[in-house]
Amino acid sequence: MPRPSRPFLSLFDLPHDPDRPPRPLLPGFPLPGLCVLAGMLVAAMASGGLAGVSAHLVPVVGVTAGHGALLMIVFATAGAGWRTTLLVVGLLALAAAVSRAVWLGALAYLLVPAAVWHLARRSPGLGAIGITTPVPLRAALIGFGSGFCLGGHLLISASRTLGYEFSGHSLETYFVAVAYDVGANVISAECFFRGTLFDRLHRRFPFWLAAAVTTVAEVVRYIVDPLLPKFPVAIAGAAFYMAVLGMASCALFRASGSLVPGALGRLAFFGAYRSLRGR
Amino acid sequence: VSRPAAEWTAAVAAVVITTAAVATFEMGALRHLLVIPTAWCAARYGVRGGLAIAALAMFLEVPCLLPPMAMRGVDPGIVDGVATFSLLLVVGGLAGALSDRARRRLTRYTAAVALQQALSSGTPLAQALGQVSESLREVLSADAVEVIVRRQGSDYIGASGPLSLRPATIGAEVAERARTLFVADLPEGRLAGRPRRLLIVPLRMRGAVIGMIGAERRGDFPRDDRAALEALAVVLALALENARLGEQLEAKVSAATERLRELDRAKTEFVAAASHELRTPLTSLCGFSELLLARQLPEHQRRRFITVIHTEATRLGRIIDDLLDLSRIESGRGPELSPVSLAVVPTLEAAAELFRGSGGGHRFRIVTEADLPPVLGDPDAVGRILVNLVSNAVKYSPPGTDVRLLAARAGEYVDISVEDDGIGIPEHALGQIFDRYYRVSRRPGGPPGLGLGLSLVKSLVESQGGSIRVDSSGGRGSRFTVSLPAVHGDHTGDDA
Repeated sequence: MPRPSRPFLSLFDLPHDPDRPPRPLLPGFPLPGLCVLAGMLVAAMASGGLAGVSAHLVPVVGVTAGHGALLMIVFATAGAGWRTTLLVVGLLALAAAVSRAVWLGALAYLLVPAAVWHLARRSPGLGAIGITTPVPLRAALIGFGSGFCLGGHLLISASRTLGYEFSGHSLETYFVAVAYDVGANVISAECFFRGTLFDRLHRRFPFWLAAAVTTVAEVVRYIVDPLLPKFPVAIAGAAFYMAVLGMASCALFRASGSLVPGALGRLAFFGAYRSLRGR
Repeated sequence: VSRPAAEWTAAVAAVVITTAAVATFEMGALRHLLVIPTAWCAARYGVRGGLAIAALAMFLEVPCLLPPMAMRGVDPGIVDGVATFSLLLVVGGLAGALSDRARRRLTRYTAAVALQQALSSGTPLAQALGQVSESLREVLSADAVEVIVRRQGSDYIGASGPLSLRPATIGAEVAERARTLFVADLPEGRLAGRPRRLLIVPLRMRGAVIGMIGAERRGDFPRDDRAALEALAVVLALALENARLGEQLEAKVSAATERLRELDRAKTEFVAAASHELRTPLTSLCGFSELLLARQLPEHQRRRFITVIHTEATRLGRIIDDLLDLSRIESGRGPELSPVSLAVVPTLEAAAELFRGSGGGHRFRIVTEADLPPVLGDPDAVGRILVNLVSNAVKYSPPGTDVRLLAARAGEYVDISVEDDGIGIPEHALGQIFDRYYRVSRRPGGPPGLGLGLSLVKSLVESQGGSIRVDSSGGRGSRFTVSLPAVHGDHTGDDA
């Protein structure tokens, strides 16, 4: 019997087109959508003079614009479509608004990761960034453990040096902050910095370069965050912890292919961070 | 406890104790001791080891370093601390990189030796390629490595079997350009956070692509590793070429040995046959001459005996002529010839005449074209050619059958054919029929002969600028056709 001429799929048999132009780093960059969010933020800040408006509107729009912009880029580059993007941004705005009205309303933040997970299961492009990838238990434990250690380190360092003290928050305040981390802060950071920026940089560059660029971008994002206290030691501390956390998250993402281990580490760290209060 | 675990524990303990001592005794100079565990781990575990210990030291020291910074701002103590940790990172990174490089070189050297051993061990090629692929995969810490070797055109063979490269594929691209191809991100089978990188290195020998190595990694494929694979490709190409040359040499030696054995056997048989062929006329010569000497015989009987003696002496002379010609041909001198313009028809008739009345009862028919030009040939050599061919026709065809001598013009040549209706020549023997000592049938009691006739005929024909071919199929007769150069112009000038 003659042997089949193609008994196995070989590396050499993969299609190749030398004339194919290189793809842009962030294809489908949603510039109009980002402009709309920026416009909303500017409008909200401009309305600061209106009595009783800015105290509620600016933080809500700020959370929606800041984290919504990151998620918008994620959805656009993954080709998830405008309707799903608007849905998630809308949920974010809803959660931010409700949580400011009633502290239990912060539970609405949980809708955002639930929606993202659900949409990722339906959209192959979104799922491919590591949201629906099966999570190896070991990676999840390492992620959580590293965040936990870093959080403990933060508690010691901050209580000694950064002008903070441990605890003192009310349970409601702590709950809202943690819910915000779960539904906005962590998910937008992981989806954008790891799932999109790092992943796409790593397709072109070595790990260390991609991770360094991603981490620098992430450190800058946290330093310019209006919620971060603006004094040198706090900024230095934020840069140090975010750099370590960013590199660790990139390494975990590369090792596991899932965003969950990094998200767990980040949640553990922010859980510690939220327990600090300025003296 | 394993040795690595013990080493890591000792290094971490050294860092913790040193940091505690710095904090307790407020002696910043003690921080310099941290270089010892950092360098140790860098030497033992490479960049990751060195950087991990440096980072641990920095991590533990931050809570100690920041309070004075918060209180007093940046002072010389802070600068010293920052400089120390920068130094630790540099030492850990550099020493680790050097250690990694040395380790990689050792591994590659070992791999190069392993490649050569795999290909020179005599294992079948597909299996050897499998061993080579596995060895390279380990050396490069790759997810997959494939090695394929060109068989012919776009057909290759690898560890998993034959592979034919299609156009517009990675393999076809590398084969065409004979250059290394690095694909930083393969869309097919991509995983989140781990791009699929592919490196295909051609195996080149004297400018031609004789194979390829393909290595796939999910994650980084550093330049250093790529250069290593290219270097190993050179080693692999040489090893493959050596293996190929070795196989060729072995095949040639084997063929030559077999040929020598065949020649030796043929010569042994030839000596036996020659002895027999010489003895037969000698016996007749001796027997009939003794009879002539010993008895007074009637004239007619005496004449008949003398005729037999003459015939056998002629036969003996022909055998000796053949042997002398053979000797001359084997020494590279060729037969001595004096070509002249030779009329074909009389030559054919002379050859046929020799065999008429030979006792076989064969009918000789000569068929030639009208106005046939003469050929350029040595009369004696052409005569011997025809006598040999007609003799074979008579020997291998049943008595009473036809032997046809044909002549026709064929361009610048004249084709002279000798046809019979005999047993013919088996197809497998047609390629060897003109070899020296070769005989189709060596069975005892078969037709006599030394296996020299056709070999000599071929030499004689080619010495005169002609050619010979044979057409036959077993049991349906045979036809030998000799093409000799035709002579143009005056047909009668030197006709013999």
